Amino acid sequence: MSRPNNKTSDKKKIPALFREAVINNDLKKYHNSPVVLKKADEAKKFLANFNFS
Amino acid sequence: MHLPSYPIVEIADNYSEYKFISAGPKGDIPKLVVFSLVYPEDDIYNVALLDILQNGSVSDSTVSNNGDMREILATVAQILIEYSIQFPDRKIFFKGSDEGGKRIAVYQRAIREYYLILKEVFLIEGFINENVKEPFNPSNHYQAFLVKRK
Repeated sequence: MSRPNNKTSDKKKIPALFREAVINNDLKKYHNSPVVLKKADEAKKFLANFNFS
Repeated sequence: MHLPSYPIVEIADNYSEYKFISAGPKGDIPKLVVFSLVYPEDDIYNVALLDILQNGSVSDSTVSNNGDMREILATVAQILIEYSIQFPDRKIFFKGSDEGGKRIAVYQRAIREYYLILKEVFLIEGFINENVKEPFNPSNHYQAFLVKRK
């Protein structure tokens, strides 16, 4: 597995938070889990009532 | 900025999912932070903090009670900061998942505790209700929050 690159592209500048992290795109499957979709729906309903203009 | 946070152990290459491990008396509990687009008109993303259960599914309603809420919230704050560096134009929305309001109370306490640090990085707004939001006031109580990088 590879490690994430900071957008500044200098490996020495990888945030300390990510220094032990590996890229795992299997995590993307959780995007469509019922829990995440439910929470996204709740957020949409909440925001739909708000006038952002 | 240094907060007593956990390191991220896994991250998706689109920076929308982050995994870390909560460590405490209950053992190692994998946690997941997920960003989802919820309001494209205004580039707003919802952030969810979840437990990864032993069967591989995720839950937003378990109470893990691992004695490390401070570290967990600091980790989420760090993730928000790094996410906003990646996507400075995106707004991040979050509200508690429980009807009793305990989670939102925890988030409010966390923002209040780290406010001096967070306000250097973010514009923070609190929703008093679904129709009214205001700049975050530590003395007020909110139903949800919206943050954007300055």
